[in-house]
This record gives sequence, structure tokens and C-alpha cells, in this order.
Amino acid sequence: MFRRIAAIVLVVILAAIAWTWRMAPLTVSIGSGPIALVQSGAVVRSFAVGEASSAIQATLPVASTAGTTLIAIWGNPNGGTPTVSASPAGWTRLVAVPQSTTTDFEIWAYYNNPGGISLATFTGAGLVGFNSWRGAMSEWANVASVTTLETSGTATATSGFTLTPTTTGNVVSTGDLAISAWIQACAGGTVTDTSPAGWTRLIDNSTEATSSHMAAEYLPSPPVGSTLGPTLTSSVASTSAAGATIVLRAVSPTTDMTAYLKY
Amino acid sequence: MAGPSLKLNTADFQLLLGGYYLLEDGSGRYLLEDSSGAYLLDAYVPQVGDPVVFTQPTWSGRVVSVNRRDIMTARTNYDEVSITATNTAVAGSGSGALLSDGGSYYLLEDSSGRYQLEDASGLYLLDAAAYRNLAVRVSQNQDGSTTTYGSLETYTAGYAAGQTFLLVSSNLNLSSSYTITNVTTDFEGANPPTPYYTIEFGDAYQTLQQAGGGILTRQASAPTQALGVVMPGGVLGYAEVTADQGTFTALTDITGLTVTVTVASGRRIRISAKVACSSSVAGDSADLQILEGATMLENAEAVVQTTAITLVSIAVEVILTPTASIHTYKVSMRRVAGTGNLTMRAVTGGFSGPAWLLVEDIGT
Repeated sequence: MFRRIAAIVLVVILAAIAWTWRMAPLTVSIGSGPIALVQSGAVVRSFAVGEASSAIQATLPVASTAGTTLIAIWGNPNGGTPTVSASPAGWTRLVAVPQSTTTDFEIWAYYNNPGGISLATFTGAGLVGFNSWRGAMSEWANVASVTTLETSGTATATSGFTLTPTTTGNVVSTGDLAISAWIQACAGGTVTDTSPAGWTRLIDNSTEATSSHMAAEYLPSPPVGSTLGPTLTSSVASTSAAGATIVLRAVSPTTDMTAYLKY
Repeated sequence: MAGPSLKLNTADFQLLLGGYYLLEDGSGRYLLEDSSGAYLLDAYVPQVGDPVVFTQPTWSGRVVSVNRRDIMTARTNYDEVSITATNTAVAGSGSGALLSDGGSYYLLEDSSGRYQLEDASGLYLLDAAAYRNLAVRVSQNQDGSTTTYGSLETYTAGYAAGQTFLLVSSNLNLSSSYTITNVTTDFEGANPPTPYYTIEFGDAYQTLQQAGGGILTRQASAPTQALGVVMPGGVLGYAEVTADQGTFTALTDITGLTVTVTVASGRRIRISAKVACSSSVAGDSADLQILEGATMLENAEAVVQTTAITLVSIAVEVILTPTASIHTYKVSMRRVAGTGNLTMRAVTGGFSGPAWLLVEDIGT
């Protein structure tokens, strides 16, 4: 008897669950959570001897997820008026900072990427005898894919241990993402990079014994209402340096729009 | 539009933004303190690029189009926003439930009759989902093949693009399996809205060229396009110089004649170049090379005269199927015989014309 009652109760509960699920109304939400770092790849060196123009590469540890934003950072401090001369489809140049004809530093973005990207191959032009580039790629979730760059700023130097790329405009929106990065030509060897207060290291090649050092920092939700100018610091003096700070807008926070649906 | 319309890769829906705050008892609007007006609702207006998530049914993508319409002539303080969102979801596989018009029965294995209930009180009916508005079109293409395209509407959920299902129609005398090419979810009614599903099945919807049997061609100067025929991709890169260079004797890169191209997988390319030169001693021989890095891909030699006599143009070309990647090609020149000094000639207005390097995708 008890089993029969239990079975009937169970059937009634399952039927209720099924009915509730079937009758659950359509909902729609627009927007998503705050900007978040998904992953970042190490600094990659691309080097070509005797080539004025060659393939330069940046990598991610894991293939990207569709819809996220990819950021590629490129730098060449070796002379020959270096520049990133070509990119794969989908990439947008956010900033390019030449320090005379010696150094070039650039930041590129791929908004709303289609997914499956773990290698980005650009073309870099530079000194025929020493066309050497450093590149790094990172992946970010919940970055706006339209009118993304809110403000940016650049800086160059030919001496000193620091660089302070300051944005030309104020940070306007809450929940933005700020990235500040640079490349310096310096005496060969390893260096020690120091992050600005409150910022987090994204990538660096400080342990690589080289005369080309790249480092990048990031700051989620930078303060609004003022410009942003973090001071990037290396333990070794620059002979040429170039860097930039970019501020990217976030997508809107998740908003339930079900009540506004028109039938 | 009567509610959202969701497909595999698109979602179209409208929002009615705006309105007024109401008093708790619903007796009227919540007025401003000076009674000059009412408190307005301030709703978020979706932006291009915003993520969109639906539940019941599940769908996610990004906004690609926002159309705001002022409907003040109909209602004040309202804003009708039409939104299109897309994603890149791919069709799955599996089986969908049987769809039947309800008039079908299980048949005996030998087709001699219907399968009766044990007490002979009736017949076994097919357990199937119902549908309406069935249409099946079979068309023959110009190449002789036939294409089937069908659609129907059902209130039964669970169908998805890529599934196969058995369609039974006693009215149209159909009992065949089809593959679903798309499912559109629409809604009717409002309290609550009831979803219904338009299922498209059969062969993929035809392009104009397919419908024409693959023989449609593009006229004028463009090459003929035919279904199944690989077309050339055209010019991948071109460089030209109009200044002389030199003198030199050893292998020397021609300044400006470098091209970096991206070659797709399995493509065949043609690299061609033309460079004119002269020598300080008549009768020398010049060698024009196409290189990738330090690797010579092809070369051509010619006996060179002095400028006072005439210039010699040297042309060289090579056909390659390189790896799918970025490739940089360049042109170099050297003296291979004689004692004079070479000068590359390309001055605008001179007898040689510009020197150039061309990289073309010519097919597979």
C-alpha cells in the first residue's frame, strides 16, 4: 500500500515538474558580466635574417572561444622604421607608436572573434639584417565589440627606466578594461619589471636575456572621470622605448528584457 | 511581427521600451511632485554587439542590428526597438519524433492490412506529433537532378536542424524520412504566448546558380563561373618601381620589388617579373632572379648592351604551389658574365618602363 502511494506521489511530482518546465515562459536577457581575462600567451619572438618583411606570430595556450576579444601586442625596437604591415582578416589596429625610426609598438584587437584561434600570424617590416619582433596575445570576455576603444594614449623615450603612456581622454564608462604595455631597447640581459600600483602583470619577457623587453599590465574597472597614465618601470635603462595605454569598453551588464518583449 | 522569431543562426524580436511608473494600486501614474508630469520608465536600449540569451527555447548570440522606431503618433513615451541577433551555431544530428497528420495506422508486415487491437475493437494508431500547413515541393534542375523542399508547422518542441524524422501524411500519401534544415520558433497569443515551430526539411534551399543547373555565367570582363570549376583568385600582390638602381655586379635586391602575400591552402600561384638593365660594357650577361628569402625560385639571363645602344628587358616567371601561409617574394639581379657594371633601368619616361613584380593566384 505504502509503495503504491509513494509511486503515485512520485508520478504526480514528475508530472508537475514536466508541466512547469513546459509552461516556463520565454525569457530574454541582453548583456553579460564584467570584463574578464580568459587567457594570455607568452611573449613570442619572430626573427628573420635578410628579410625586410616577414611573418610575425603571437599565440594563445588554448584555442579562443567564439565571441571573446583577442588583443595582440607587437613591438620591434631594432631600427629600420619597423611597422606591422599586414594582418589577418578581422583584426583592427588600435594604436601604433613609432619612436623615430628605431622602435615600433602596436596594439591590435579582434572583436567578437569566431573562435578556434590559437595562432595569429601578421607581417612585420623592419631592418633587413635584423627584423626581430616580439608579440603576445591575450583573450578577454565581455569586451564590447562596437565602438570599443574609449580612449588611448602613447609615449616614447630614448633614455630612462620608465615610460608613462597617458590617455588623451578621460575614462568615461564604469567597468572598462585598461591595458598598458611597452617595448624597450636596452642593454642585453634580463630585467625586472615593476607593475604600477593596482595593476596586474599580463605578460613580460623579463627573464629572457635580450636587448628587447616587452611588458604589459592590465587594470579592470579603471577610475572614471580622469585620464589614465600608469608608469611602466624596468630595472634597465632604455635606449629606445615606445608604449601605449588603451581603455576598452565593456558590454552592458546583464539586463532581463523579457517584460519588454512585444508580441 | 507577433513575438520573437528564433532560428538556428538568427533571432528577430521587438522590444517596446518606455512607459510610466504606476501607483501601487494601479489607480494611476506616479506623478512628479509638482504634478507637471509622470515618472517615466527608463529602459536599456540594446546596442550592436551586446550578447543575447533566450531561454525556452535556448538560444544565444550577439546583436547585429538595432532599429529604433518612434511610435509617438500611436503612443507617447514609447520606443519600438526591432533587434536582429546572430550566432554561428551548427546543425546537429539525431532523430526527431515522428510527425503525422493523425490519419495513419500501423500496417501488417505483409501490407495486407492494418494492425488491429487484440480485442478487435480498433486499430493501432501511430504515436506521432501533429502538424499543419504541410507543403512539399519537388523541382527538377537544369542539370537533371531533383530537389525536395518542404515545410510544416507543429506545436511539438524538440526538433532541431540536422535531425532526421519520419513524415507521414495520409492526405499527400507521404511516408518518408527527411532531414531538418531549419526550425523557426514563433509565438502566438500573449497570455501566455504559445510557441509553434516551422520546420523546413529536405534539400538545402537552392542558390540561384544551383537552380540554373550550374550553368549561370557572369558576363562582361569577368571570367566565366561554372559550378565545380575552380576559379583563379586574381592578383595577390604587385610592386612597381620607377627609379633606376645601381651600379652593381654581385646579386643585388631590386629596391621596392618585394611582395608579401597570403597563400591559401592548395592554391597554385604565378610569380612574374620584368626588369630592364644596361651595362657599362656591351656584351655582358645579366641574371634576373625571383627569390623567397635566400632561395632562388627561377631565373632568366640575357646579354646586355650599353645604354647608348639599347636597353634589355628581362622577364622571368615561375609557377608554384606553396604552403598555406604568408610568403614574401623578391627580385634580385647580378652580372654573370663580362666586366662591366650593371644599372637597373626603370625611370619613368625612359625607354624601359617601370620594373615590376606580380604574384597571382591562378587556381589549383
